[in-house]
Parts: sequence; structure tokens; C-alpha cells
Amino acid sequence: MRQALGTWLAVLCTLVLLCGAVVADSKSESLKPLGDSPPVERGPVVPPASETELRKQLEAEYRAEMEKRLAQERDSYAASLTSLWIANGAVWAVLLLFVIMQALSARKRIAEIDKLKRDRGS
Amino acid sequence: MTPGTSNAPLITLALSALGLIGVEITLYLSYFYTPVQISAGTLYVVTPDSGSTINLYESYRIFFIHLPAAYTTALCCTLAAVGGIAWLLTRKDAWQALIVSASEVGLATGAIVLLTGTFWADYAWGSGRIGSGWNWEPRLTTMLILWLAFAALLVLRRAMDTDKQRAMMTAVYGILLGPLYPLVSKAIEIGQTSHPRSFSDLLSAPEIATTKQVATIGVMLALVSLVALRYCWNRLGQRMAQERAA
Repeated sequence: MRQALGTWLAVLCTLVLLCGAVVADSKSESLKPLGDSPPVERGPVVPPASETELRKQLEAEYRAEMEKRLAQERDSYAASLTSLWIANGAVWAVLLLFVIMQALSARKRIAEIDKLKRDRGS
Repeated sequence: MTPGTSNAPLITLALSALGLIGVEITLYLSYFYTPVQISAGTLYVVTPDSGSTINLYESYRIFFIHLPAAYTTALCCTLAAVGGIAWLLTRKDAWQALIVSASEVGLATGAIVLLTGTFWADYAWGSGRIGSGWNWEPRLTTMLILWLAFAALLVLRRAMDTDKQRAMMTAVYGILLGPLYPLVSKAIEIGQTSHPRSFSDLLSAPEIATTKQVATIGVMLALVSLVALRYCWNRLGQRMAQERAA
């Protein structure tokens, strides 16, 4: 019964481990090169009043694009870390479970050997 | 080491606990201490057959599991060979338990090496699709042969009719496992390979070199403790069989 429970727990941990890869960087749109996105409709181009205004407009556009990409990068990194901890937890759980199961099984075997010795002695 | 009458199982458990802590420290260091390669050429650069360079970004972090697992596989090969020779000389059951334990853990660590290596190869020289990095080059193929050899030992010994046959087959097969890892190691020098030949560029970053050393100790400790655990367990099994037969 205990062994069956251990097997199921090991299977569960393995499944969690495999799910980690599925969760990893699940946002497919993250970090796409700029060239992959369709051109944005910007409407009619209005000639700016001066070069300073044009510079400001371009800088604002550049800043907005950078902020957007930075946010995507942050999301991607957060997803990677989440999957890392899921995978880490699953591997650790499997190792710990294995050690515990081995210890319990060894204890059972030691008890069995003692019993056999007693039976032989009596 | 006489399980059941000594402190061997307790020492083994303590070793396992230390190994588990070592694994955690390795994972922490590999993600929060080592840097990300932000431009090609600053760290280790793979030069596949085409000679083009790639940026490793985060992918190199898998080495901190891949390398210690490979070292443990090599250690398991050596232990199996030593156990085989020692059994032929002494005929003591303890050596049989050592060969079997080393093969069981070698099978597990070999699987870790193959899986982590393949995942990284998919990125490094494959198309990114799972399995695309497997190109049957000498290093990959010899490693697969070694892994199958571990599996074959464990399966074949069960197929033997008598204990004597089983012990003899296990010992001889264990000795044959010995030269397999040097073959895997040297396979990199056979012809053109995609697998990196040296890690010196990667280890030139001090954080990566330190983490690699911690990983080698921590992860190997965890994996070697598994050999010790299995050894204790197999020895207890042998003693139980002896008691039943008496």
C-alpha cells in the first residue's frame, strides 16, 4: 500500500516536472523580433512644426516601444523563473521521496532480517 | 559496511541530506549568481560544423546539472568495473551489490546526461524543435550505447537461472562497462563533432567557474549518495536471502 502510494507520488512529481516545460515562457509573442510584427497603422503623416518637435515625437515613440519590449521581457523572465521553481520543486520532491522510500524500505528489511534471526533461534 | 548492524544507513541518509542541500545551492547559484550571456563571444561560443557562432543567453545553465551527472556516470562505470574485478578475486556478495547499485544509478544519471544534453543541443545546433539536436555524432551515440549497457546489465542479470550464473554474468558485464566511459570521453576526438570540445571559454567567467565547482561537489554528492543508498538496500536484500536460506 505504502509502496503504491510512493509510486503514485513519484508519477505525480514527474508529471509536475513535465508541466514545468509547458509553463516555460508560455507567452509566444514575447521577445519577438521587431521585424515579425505587422506594420502599425500610423495615420496620415503631419509634418512637424520644427525639428525639435520631430525629435520629441520620435523619442516618445522610441520610449513607448522600449517600455513595451521591456515589459514583455519582464513577463518572459517571470515565466522562466516560475517554471524553474516548479521544475526545481518537482526534482527535489522526487529525490527526497526516493531517499525517504529507501530509508523506510531499509528499515522494513532490517526488521525482517531480525525476525528471521529470531525465528531461527527459537 | 554491514547494514543493519552498523550506522551505515544513517550515514548514507546524512549524505543524502547533504546532497539535497548541495543540489539546492547549485540551482540557486546557477540562476542568481552566474551572468546571462548578453552578446555573442563574451562567454562560451559554440562553433558547429558551419562555423557560425551563437549566443548562449541562459541556455548554458543546464551544464551545471549535465556535467556532474556525466561525472557520476563515469564514476558508476569505474565502480562497476572495480566491483567486477573484486568479485572475481574474492567472490564476496558485497561486490555484487556494488555493481548493481552503480549500474542502477548509472542508468539514472546517464538518462539525465542524455536528456539535458539533447535539450541543449536542440537550442545549440538543432532547429529548436524537441529532438532536432540529436544528430548521431560519436559523442552522443557512444553515450547512448553506455546507457543501454547499464540497462542491459540490469535486465540480463534477471534472466540468469542460477545465482552463480547471475553473479558471474554481473561481474563480467561490470568489467566490460569500465572502458565504455573513456570511449565516450574520447569520442569527441573522432571526426567532426557538434559537441563542445572544451569549456575553457565558458569557465573564464569567475562566477561560472565557482558555480561549476559547487555543482560538481553538490550534485555529485547527491547522486553518489544514491549509489550508497542503493548499496545499503541491495546488501540488506542479500542478507535477507541468506537468512531465509539458512
